[in-house]
Order: sequence, then structure tokens, then C-alpha cells
Amino acid sequence: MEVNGILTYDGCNFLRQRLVLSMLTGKPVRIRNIRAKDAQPGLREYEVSLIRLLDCVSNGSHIEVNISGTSVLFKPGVLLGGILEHSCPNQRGIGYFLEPLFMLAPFCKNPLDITLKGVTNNKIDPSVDMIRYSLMPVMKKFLVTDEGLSLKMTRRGLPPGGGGVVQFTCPVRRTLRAFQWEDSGKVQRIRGVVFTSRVAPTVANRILEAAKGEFLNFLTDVYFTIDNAKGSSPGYGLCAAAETNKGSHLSAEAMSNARGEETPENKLPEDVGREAAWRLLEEVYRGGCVDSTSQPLVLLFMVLAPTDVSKIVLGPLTPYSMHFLRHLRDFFQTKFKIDEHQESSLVGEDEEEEEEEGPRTGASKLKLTCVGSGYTNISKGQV
Amino acid sequence: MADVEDFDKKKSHSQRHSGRKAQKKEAKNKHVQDLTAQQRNPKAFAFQSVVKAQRRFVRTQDIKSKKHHIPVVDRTPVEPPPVVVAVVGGPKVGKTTLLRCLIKNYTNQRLSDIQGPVTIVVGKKRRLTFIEVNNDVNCMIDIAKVADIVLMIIDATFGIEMEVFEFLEICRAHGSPRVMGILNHLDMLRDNKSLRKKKKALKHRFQVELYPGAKLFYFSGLIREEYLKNEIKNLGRFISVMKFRPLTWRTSHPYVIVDRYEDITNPERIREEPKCDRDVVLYGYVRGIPFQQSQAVHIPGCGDFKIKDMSFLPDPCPLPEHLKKRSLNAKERLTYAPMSGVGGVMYDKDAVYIDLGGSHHPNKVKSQVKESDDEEEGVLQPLLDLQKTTNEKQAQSRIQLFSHSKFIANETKYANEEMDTVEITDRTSSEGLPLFETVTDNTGRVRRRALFNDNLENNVDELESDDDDEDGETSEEGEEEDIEEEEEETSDEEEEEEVNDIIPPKKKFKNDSGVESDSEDYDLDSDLLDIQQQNLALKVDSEVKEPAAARKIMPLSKNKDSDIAQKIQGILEKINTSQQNTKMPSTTNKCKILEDDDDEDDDDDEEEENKDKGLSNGGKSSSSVVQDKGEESEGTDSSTSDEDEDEKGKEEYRMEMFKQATSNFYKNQSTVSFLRKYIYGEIKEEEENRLEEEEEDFGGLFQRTSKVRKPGELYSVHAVMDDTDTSRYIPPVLQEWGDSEVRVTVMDCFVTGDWKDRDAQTLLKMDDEDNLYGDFEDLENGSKFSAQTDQKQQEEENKEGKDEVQEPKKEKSAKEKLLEKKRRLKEMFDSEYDDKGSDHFDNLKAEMSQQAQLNRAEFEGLDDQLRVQYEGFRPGLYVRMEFSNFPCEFITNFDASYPVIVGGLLENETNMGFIRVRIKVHRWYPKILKNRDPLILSLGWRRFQSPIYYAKREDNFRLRSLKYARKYLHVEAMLWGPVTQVNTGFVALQNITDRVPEFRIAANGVVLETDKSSKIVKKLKFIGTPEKILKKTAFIKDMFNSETEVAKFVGAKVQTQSGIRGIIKKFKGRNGLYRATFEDMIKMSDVVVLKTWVPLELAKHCFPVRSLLLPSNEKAAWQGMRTVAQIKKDKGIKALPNPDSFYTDITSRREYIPLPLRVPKDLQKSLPYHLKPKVTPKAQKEQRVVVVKNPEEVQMDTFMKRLKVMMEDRIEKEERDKVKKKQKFQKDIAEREHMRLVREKRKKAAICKYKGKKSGSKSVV
Repeated sequence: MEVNGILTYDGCNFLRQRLVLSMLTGKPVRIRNIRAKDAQPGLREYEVSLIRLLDCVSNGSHIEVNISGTSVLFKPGVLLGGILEHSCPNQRGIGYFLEPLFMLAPFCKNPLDITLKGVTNNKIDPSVDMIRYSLMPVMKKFLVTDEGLSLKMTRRGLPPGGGGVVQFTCPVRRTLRAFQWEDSGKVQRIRGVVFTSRVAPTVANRILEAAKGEFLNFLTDVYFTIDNAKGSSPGYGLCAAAETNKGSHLSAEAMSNARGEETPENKLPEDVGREAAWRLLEEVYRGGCVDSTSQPLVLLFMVLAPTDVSKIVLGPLTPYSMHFLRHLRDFFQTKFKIDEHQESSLVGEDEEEEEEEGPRTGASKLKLTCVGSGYTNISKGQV
Repeated sequence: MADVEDFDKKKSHSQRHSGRKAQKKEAKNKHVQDLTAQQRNPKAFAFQSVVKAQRRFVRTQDIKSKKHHIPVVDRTPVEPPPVVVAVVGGPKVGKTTLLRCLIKNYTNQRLSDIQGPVTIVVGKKRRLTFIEVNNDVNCMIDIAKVADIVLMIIDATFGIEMEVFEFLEICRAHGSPRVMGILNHLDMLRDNKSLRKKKKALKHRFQVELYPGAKLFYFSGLIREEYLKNEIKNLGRFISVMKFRPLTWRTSHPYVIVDRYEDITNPERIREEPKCDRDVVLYGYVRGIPFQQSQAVHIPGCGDFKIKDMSFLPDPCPLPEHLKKRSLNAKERLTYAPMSGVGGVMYDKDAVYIDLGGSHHPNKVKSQVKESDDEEEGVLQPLLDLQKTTNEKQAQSRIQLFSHSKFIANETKYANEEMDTVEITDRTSSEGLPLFETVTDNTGRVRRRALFNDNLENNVDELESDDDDEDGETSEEGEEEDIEEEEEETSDEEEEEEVNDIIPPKKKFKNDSGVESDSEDYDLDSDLLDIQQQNLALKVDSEVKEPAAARKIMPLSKNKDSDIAQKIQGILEKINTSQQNTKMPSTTNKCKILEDDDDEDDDDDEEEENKDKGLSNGGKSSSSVVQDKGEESEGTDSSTSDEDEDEKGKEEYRMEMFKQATSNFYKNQSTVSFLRKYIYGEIKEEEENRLEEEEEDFGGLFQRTSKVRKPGELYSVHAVMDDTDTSRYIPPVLQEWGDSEVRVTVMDCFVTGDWKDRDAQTLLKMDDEDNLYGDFEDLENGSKFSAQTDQKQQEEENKEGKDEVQEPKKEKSAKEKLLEKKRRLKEMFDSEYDDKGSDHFDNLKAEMSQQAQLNRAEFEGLDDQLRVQYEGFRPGLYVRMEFSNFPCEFITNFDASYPVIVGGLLENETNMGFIRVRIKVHRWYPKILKNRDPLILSLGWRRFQSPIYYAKREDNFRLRSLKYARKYLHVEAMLWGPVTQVNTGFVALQNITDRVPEFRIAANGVVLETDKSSKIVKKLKFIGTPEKILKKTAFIKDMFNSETEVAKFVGAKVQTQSGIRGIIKKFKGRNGLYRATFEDMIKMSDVVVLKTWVPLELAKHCFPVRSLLLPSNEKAAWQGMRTVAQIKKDKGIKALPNPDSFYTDITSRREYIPLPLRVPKDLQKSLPYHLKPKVTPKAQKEQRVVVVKNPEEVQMDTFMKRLKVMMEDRIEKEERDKVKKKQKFQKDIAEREHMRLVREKRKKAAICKYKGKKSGSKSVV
């Protein structure tokens, strides 16, 4: 919705999407009624921190927050990048802050090199492991070379204590290339990391056993690394990723309850392992060239491509991506063409046969097509 | 004479070409092809030297690779927009005549008065737009940005004019179009020789300016006010075959050259206030890249705008269709030039134009649009709205409860007068957004609601059953309030209903437009049938008439009348929608089929369903269907009882419905149409409704908010607004992957599963089937399959492996297989031995062409209306752009000779920032460019004036401020202006006024970077003096004024003039005194200097040149800000020189006397021997012995002295005599010599006389 030429939204949900798109397009955005009816109205600490981070990454951003914190006006500046450090509040994971950075980093003036401190794994946000498994390959694909692109976790930090340290570096690009990605391939190996912190080391093995058992029904090439970390808070979990022969990565994760978390029952390590495995299978069931976590990133990069046709095949869209699509329309006026994806081999065949056999490749896929907006990195300069 | 010659002429011999004689002759001297030198003597042409050969090869390769350009994706559309041909030249060189001649050449028509762009179809695939460019710089700049071909007319009698150079310079900065020079007025030069000379000189100059080999045309003169026909024809041919290289700016920005405009402001408004902002419509072809709906645009000379509405029109000047012949006939040679008044006035008969039809008649304008887009309502609406009263608007407003159902009239609203005033503007945004209506309530909030045609039909089949409900309608006004709330729920419901019949349709919703007692359920459909049956007579006409009547009645009658009116209107609305509904029953069926499929699916599907449900309900089972029914009935019951209960029931019901809707939503993801709708249309409005609902709650019911905010509920009412913002998608209920049946569903996703092209298997199966069922015919291939298949072949097929493309194996297939095999072998061979693909350049090129092909093919088959949604208004479309709040001067001061260009801006480009540029003063510009003086820049689409700050990039990358831009050198500069892409070129002018003697282009350059802060620094020296000195510490005063100032510089390096370095330690006291330490003791007489760099503050001033808005006499005289020099000149201010800067004689300069070097003793000791100062004892001067003379000796001495004097005198005398003697002697000699000469002369004369006499006598003889 546009009010006085400023895109205006209500509510705090999708704050990151809105701010990121605003930064990329240079369009100011106003967000009103942030938890207006809540007992604690206004922005939360982590949201403020996010805004601070974006301000840090950019030059000349203008931010207005009203007294109660229920309304934010964000006028973006020029994306700057550079060597930065940011400590994230423990309510949200580092993933919350990393995702917008993934979207912004290629379009900065200088290559981004940021050190983030906080919670690396939690239950709300995609963990740093997951981001590495799922977003990094996508990023690599778009930046063509992975020179200067890295995501390092120097220390793991679990909630509620946090204390993790993650370093993310990313090179800059002036333009991206349009691309077509219609074949997700078949899962050929499964990799993952089992992490524990301040618990008995056998826990890791128990998780591993449970998860591996699930995967071995499909595949033998399953390999998990174990990371027994020392941290401030106890916890354990598993992040697994499936790699296909066409280079797409699907990832999923599960972890134990945090200390002090109110949940009906405590999870056994086996449960965690199985849950992660099942979630990954679910992800495989959903399928597509990228997993549900990287859907927004891919969609964004498709829009930012030159004015050529880009295509991708995705599994069912997550609500987050759906809203992202909508926001993309608001900011870039780019509309995606959404079609059902029919696998080429199935096209010629008779219907009866399909019915007989039933689809064994999971959920039906979507093919998203769009014409890029011809975006160029406006902040990257010349000497 | 001639007669004689004729007579003399003999009959010449004619050779035989055929016949016997000829044959004979041919046989006699048969032609033998000579061997070439190389053939005769191949050895001579063999490699003489390997090195040379190699060099030659390298050279050719170099030349070849130099010709390579970076391949770009060819984005020219199938039907490209007309090519822009600009005619440029000084005044009175014959631009108009040329234009007229060219048009005549192409169309055989003579346009008398050409104004604005003229578009012509010139060939099967080419259209041209001609624009004449006047001599205003503004105009030239704008045209240079859009022209594809420039015809540059040069007056041969005059030579090349400044305008031409200026124009070329502008072109160079913005990406050069093709330039063709035309030398005119050649007939004025009488002399043939001077003509040739002139031609040559001008051609040379022209090629220097452009590129060697640039084409120059010569026009030899006028015949009847026109150029020679064949010269024009040649030029025309050149133009129509010319090719262009895409220019960066134009391939990254959309633009439109406006060839027609309309002022659609309400005339009443203009009457009231002539200077009010106007609503303007601009027309033109899209060029460059696709235009997006509501894109930000810049109109050079006018300002930034946002497109309010955009739609495409049928091409007014279309290319001929299916042309078989070579050339066009007269009918196909269309002309389109609305500004010249061509449309409908002069060439009515033989061409098709868009009829202007009175430019100020909005309906007419609109009706054209309407033709193009099929939507019946909508387009006309916003305009009609202008003339309606609020009541009418209210009456007109409609609400759609279910997206598939009809509209409910809004009568219910004004029954309660305090309710929102709702005005609805139905409009089709032709861009591709779905049909939507805009509702404005009394708080002024605008809400939009998307309407979908494809959903409107859904419940047609349910109609029959529900018709009985209609009779019982009684309106309850109390309920009306809730309509809005319910809308969304109901819309949810209906979605669910449409896709899977959880709730039987009959039971579900019954209501009418604010009629039913059940507030919960509205069943529009019930009425529909009745209406259809009864009011068949009421058709389209009645639709138009009746509501108007109803509207009129409405405000007068409060209760009864209003009810009736409501009813009537409701009915009418229904008819309206029902008509739409009846159109497409097919899609509903489809939905059903889908559902059926779902039902038939096995457990896994069921589970999926569960999962989906779980999303909303947090694990609620699918048995909710029953519950729903129960609750529904509850709801209906409660409505009959008192209000509170009713409210409560509604509450629950609402929640339930919501859950269901959300759950179903996930199920429905598979149906793409739903997804499209969900993402791009409906939910937005749903969201807003929710918001609305919330607000309402705030007014009266607090408990709901709290209830909704249950922690477990993910997709509650607030879900969308204030939910946690996370991209992680966690399926709420996992499928039981331990179960083997579930596992099967993803079996093929793994490499261990079946591969995608499982032809082997399927073939096998097919064959089995064949055997079972005997012969069958493949309908796709048309090939027949017979039962007796060769078993062997099958096996072979299986062996062939997975990659094999499946093909029917039959007798004839053996041959095909062989072919296939050969082909594959060849491919393999090619890939192994041809290095075709290995070249990076070729690879890139192939990739680009592939992309280009995809770009063309992707949206090929789509309807234009839909296509525009996905890819925007592609180049080549003729579009209509509506703008509001246009300055009225645009209309009042419109001048067709100034081009109007709508340049699309990309994201970010509407913002302002500091632009760092590399700039070079033009070598022909006579003045110096001073720092901070304003320049008029043409950058991107824009022309603006901004003060510019020059700087020099130093070796350590510091940008040091400069006072003046250097001549002949690139310097960097910064200015405040619109953010522009890096590498965009620009030209800068100081003066755009007409008729200035000098070259107007001041500088040109390129954008290097954009930022939000400046980086230019300026050197600054702080000077202070010591107040007190304590050994190496000193207190310095007079440098700063306060301790805060000092605090900023703590740690900074200072220095005395003598070079003693120090560092600032800390402030002392409040007046800027500080303590500093030095490497040595300084003196009180020393001056302490602090050298720093201060960032320069740049003025954030940027003023667009609004040349289009100026009256025509001021257009070329705009100046804007003046330069400092100009101001000084105007005000008569003269700078007083600083007396210190005068050059004076240096009066007192102390001579420098170096002191002897003294080496301290200690140092001396430690020095090596050869450096030690050697202590050599000074040699004693020889002392002379004092001579004391006795008198005798004295006498002798004096005598000797006298003698000496005498002697000297004598010698002198002798010398003098000698000289005299010598002189005399020489004189003598000279005299004698003279005498001799005289004598000889005389003798000679005598001889000559004698000889003369002799010869004289001879000659006489």
C-alpha cells in the first residue's frame, strides 16, 4: 500500500523482507502498527538490533521510530559493506541477521566482511549450519565464483546463553546473470553436522545413529560430522543436508529444547535425530531446486537479474516466500508466472499409468518464471 | 562539316557471334586459362620463413579479436518500435525540406506543416519516426538520448556549424547513434573546383569528428523546393537498411517518445483555477526495455513523475501483416503524426489513424482504451466517478462476499447513516493487476479488493437448490455492520468450498445483500436464479438505467424506499455478475476433478491433508468437518437469540472458518491458479480486512484480541501482521516417514530410485500391454503398433540404457534407430574433435543467443493483456500513460518542436546522492571552470543544474579539492544529483542560452560512483604559538578556541617551522590552550603548525532544467544559478588584491655566511681516522729582511729610477715614430695602388673602346 508515495505496511511480520527490499530499491518504507495491540507494543530488541545492523551496513540511511516503537520509517542509504562487527541479541539466532545480509551483501560498495556474535542455533531461525548448507550453494551459483565468499563459525552458541561467533564474507557484483534452473536432480548424498554443547559426548552418537537409520532406507552415502562444542548453554541437535547430482541442496534441522524453555516433554537425542531426518525427508518430498529456506533468496536474485527470463522449479512455496513474492511485486513491480511443473518424461505418458504407479517424486512442483528487473549495483563504484 | 563526316564514314566491321564462322574462329584461338603465378610456381609461394608466417597469423588473429564486442543478449522484440530518425543542423540549412522530401519519398504524400514526430511505415519490418531538431541545446540533448539515426545537415556554403559540433559532443557522451552527414546547398558554389575542394575539406573534417569513413551525402540542389529525387531515394534506402549497436543506457531503461498528448483534466476545474495541476495522458511507442506499470519516470524538461495508469493501445501505425510481395503498396504505407494534424484532417481516406475526436472529451479517450481491454466495467468508471455525487457513488458501490459470487450492493451501508461512506471505483488496471475495486471508507482509508473473473462462476450448479430462500428476505439493518467482518471469512469459506466439498453447499450459506436474518451466512446465489428467471427482460440496458434511478431515490427515502431500492440494486448487481458467471462453468468442473483426484489418492494424500490441517490447528485432525457443521448450525441458532450470544457464536464460527481456510490453503497450493490468486491478488485485501476487523475490535470488543493471540496459533488473525518473522519453514505435523508406504512417495527423489526418464521400464510395460491388448495406435505419433513385437528388439532396447529417447520399435523403427545411433556418434565425434565450443567467446555468444531465444519464446503465446503483467509493456507496444498533477505550464506552453520524452527510471534512480564523476573540460571551451560554480549537466535522462566541486586524486587515494578544473586533464569532481548508474556519460554546460559566440559544451565525463557523503578534502593548517616552554614540553595557545576542539585533535602531529616535530597531548584550561611534546626544545619565537585535512561540505543543490514548462521565448534563455564571475560582473564587484600578493623588489636580503663547521671533541675522537680533522701546524710565512739603505745606495737608487723613466720615455717616443712611419708608408702604398688601378682602368677602357669599334664595324657589316 502506498501512502504519500511511501510504501506502507502494517505489523512487524516480514520486517526483514521489507527493509531489505527497501535497501535494494532505495524506496523508503514505513511500517506501522508494530504489535500495536500487544502487551508490549513496539519493536523488540532484536528488531532494533537488525535496524542498527542495516544502518551499519549502509551509508546515509535515515530511520525514524516513534516513541512507542510501533512505527518505523526507513529511508535507505547506499549499501556500504566493509569490515564490520555486530552482536546479535539472544532472543533470535544469528540466522535472523544473516539472511538479510545474504540478500544485501553482493550489492554493497565494498566486499562485506562481518563478524556476528550471538546464538548460532535455535528453534525459530535457520541455524548457521543450515544457512551454510542451503544458502551458500545458492549464493555460489549466483556469484559464479566462490572467491571471497565464506561463512565461518568460529564458535557455536546455543540459547539462551549464546556466545557464538560467525564470520561472513562476500564479494560484490555489479550485475547478476539470468538463469534457468529446472532440473533439481536426484539426491545422491546426505551430509550433516551433529552438534552438542555441554552434554555427554555419547549424545552425539545417539543422534547420529537415529538419523542415519532413517536415511539408510534410501541411500548409503550418509555422513555426519560431530561437533562437540564448549559453550555457555547446553543443547544438542542435528542439521542435515541432501545434495543432488545437479547441485541443489536441501536441508533441514532439529534440536533439543533450550534450557528454561517451556515445552511439554523433553526430547531425547534419538527423537531429535529422527525429527531432523524426517524433516529432511519432508524437504525432499517438497523438493525443488532449492529448499524452502533459500526460496526467497533465489526469487530475489531472479528479480535482480537483467531483463531476461529466469526460471526455477520449486517445491510448494512457504508462506514466507509467498509474502516475499508479494513484496517483490510491491518494490520491483515484477510478477512471477507460476505454473505447475511437469517433468519432461511424464509428459508423453498416459495418464492411467501414472495413476497406477503414483508419483514417487514427492509433492507436485511449481515452475516460477519471471523477467528480471535489470537491477544494477548502484553503490559499487570505480576508482 | 558534320555532313562531310557522315558522308566519309565507312561501315564498320561487325564480328560474327554465332554461326559457322564464329565457331571456326573459336576453335582456332581457343581461350586457355592462364595459370596464376602461384599455380605456376608453387615453391616461390611456400613459407619462406616460419617466423614471418607466425607473425602474419598472429596479426590477423589480433585484428580479428579486436573486432569482438562483448556479446550482449539481443533483446529486440519481434515487432520493434519505429526507428527514431532525427534531422539535425543549424538554422536555415534545410532540415524541414529534407524531412518533407523524405516523407514524400516514403509515402508519396506531402505534409505541409510538420510538427512533432512523424511515424511512417517504410518496409516490411521497419517503421521510422522522424523528428526535426531545432537549435536549442535542450532539444539537442534530449534528442541525442533517443535518436537511432541522426541526419546531420551541413550547409556547404557556410561550413560546419557550432551546433553540429555541439550535437556530436552531446551524442558522444550519451552513446553515439548512427550519424549520417548531408552536405547541402552545393548548388550555391558556382565554381566546380571550389566545389570539389569544399567537399573534400568538409568530408575530411566530418570524418575527423566522427570516425574515418563516415558517410557524407551530397545534395546538389533544389528543384521546385525539393531535393533531387534520386538523391533522396538513395538516402532513404540507406536509412531503411541501417543497423544499430545497442547502447547501454537505452538497453537498460525504458522510454517513450511522446507523439501525442491529451489533457484530461476536468474542464470545470480548469475553469475555476486555470493554473491547477493537470491530468495528462501521453502516448507513444515503448522503446528500450519493457515499461513497468506505475514506474517512476523522468520527463526531461519537466520533472519526475509516477505513472498513474498505463495501458496499451492498438498500434496506430502497424507493420503490414503477412506480406508476400517485395514492396509495400500505398495502403500499407501508413503515416502517423498526430501533432502535425495529420490524423483525420488531411489523409483520412488512404490511411488509418486513431481519431483524436476532440481531445478534451474524456469518454472518448477512454472508449479507445476500452476497446483494447475487454473488461466491461472498470475503465470508464474512474472518470464517471468524477461527475457523481457521493450518494451516487454509494449506491454504486458493491461488495463481493465470496470471490465467486455476485456483488452485493452497498445499500446496507447508508441505511445507517453514520456508517462509512464507501465509494467504489472499479477499475481494471490494464497493466495486468487483476481487476480490482477501490473502496474508501469515511476514515479516508482506501481499501482495495481484487476481483477475479475466473472465480465468479463457481456456484452455478448450486443455484437451483437455493432459489426458495429468496422469498423470505427481510432486511435487518442491525446486522449490516457485520458484513464487512464476515466478508473475509466467507471468502475463505468459499474458497474451501470450491475446492473440496467439506461442507455440503446447500446447507451452507444463505443470505442476501443485507437481507437475511442470518448474519453469518450470505447466499447470493439463491437470488440469482430467481432473478434470472424473472428478469430476463432486464438486460444490459436496465443495468444502466435502473441503478441510477435507485440512486436517486435513495437519499430521499429513509426506510422503506431504501429497502426497495436496495433490493432492486442487489438484483441488478446479481444479474451483472451472473452474466459473468455463466460464462465459464468449465473451471469449476476442473476444480471438482482435482478434488476427486485427491479423494482417490491413497493414504499419503490423506496424510498430507492432515499435515496441512495441522498448519493452522496445531495438530487438529481432519474430522473437523463434522465439527464445522455443528458449529455452523450453532452459529445460525445464536443469531436468532440475543445479540451477545450471537456475537460469541460468530466469534467461534469465525475462528473455525479461519482455521479451515488456512488449512485448505495449504492443500490448495497445488492448484496453481489459487496460488497466483493468493500471492498477487486476494490476500492483500484479506489482510486489510483483518486489520479492519481488528480495529473494530478495538472499538468495542476487547476480548477477541486476547483470544486470538493464543500462543500456539500460528496462523491466527494476527499471524500475518505481527507474527514472528522467520524464513524457516517447519512443517507443523511431520509425515510418518517411518512408514514404508510414506517412504515410497519420495523413492524416486534419490539416485537409488527410478531415474526420471524411465523409458526402459515404461517401454517394457507398454510392450506388455501391447501383448495383452493387441494392436493399438499411438495417437501422438500416428504410428501403428501391432501385437507381434519382436522380443529381441525389446531386449536390445532395454540394454540400450536409460538415455535412449523412447521410440516405438517397429519394423521401420530399425532404420530410425540406425539414424539415431549415427547422429549420436557424430555428436560424440564433434564434441571430441571440434573446438567450436571451447572458445570462451563463442560459448558466451551461444549462451546469449539461447537466452535471447528464451526471452522471445517464453511469453510468445500469451494474450497481450496477461503478457503485460509478467514482462511489462514490451518495446514496440503503443502505450497510453496517464499522469496526474502535471504542471499546467506543460499544456499552456506546449511547443511541438520540443520533443517530449518519458524516460523510465530504474529502482534507486529516483533518489538523490553525491555523484563522483570524472570530468574533463572540453578543449574548445574558452573559459575556466571554477570550483563550486554551477554547471548544467545532462546525465541519464535528466538535465539539471548543480554546483560542482573539483578534486584531484592523489597518490594515496586522497581526493584533494581543487580551485579550478584543470585544462586538458581529467579531474574528479563531486556533485549532488540524482543517483545514476556507474559509467554513465554526461555533458556539462555553463550556459544553455541561445546564440552565444563560443562553444557551449563546457565539459564531459563519466560517473564513477554514487554515495551519500562527500569524500573531497581540503588542506587546513592551524597555527599556534608557544605560551610556555618546559624543556621538550610546551604549551601552545591561539590554535584552538576550546577544549573540545583540542580533544578532537589529541594525538595529532604538530611541527614547528624549523621542523621540530611534536604531538598534541591534552588540553589545558578552557581557552584552547594545550600541552604538546616535541622531539627537541622549541623556542618562544617558533610557530607551531598543525596540518590536517577537512572534508569539504558540498552544497546539496540540484535544480532540474524545466525547459518544457517555460514559455517559448524563454525556453532557450534559461540560466538558473549564475557563476560567481557572472554575479561579480553583474554587480560590478571587483576583487581587491591582497597586498601581500603583489610582486615587489626584494629590498633587504641578508647574505648568508655559513659558519665554519665545528666538530665537537668527543665526536672527533670517535671518528675514523680518515674523517678526523687533521691537525696540521700552520707553515710559517717567510719573513722578509728589512733592508736599510745608506745614502749612497739611496742616491744610486734614485739615479737608477731616473734612468728608468728616461728609458721608458724614449721607448715610448720611438714607438710613436714607428707608428707614424708605418702609417705614412701604408698611405704611400695605397696611393700607388690607386694609381695603378686608375691606369689599368684607363687601359681597359681604351681596349674596350678599340674592341668596340672593331666589333661595331663588323656588325654593321
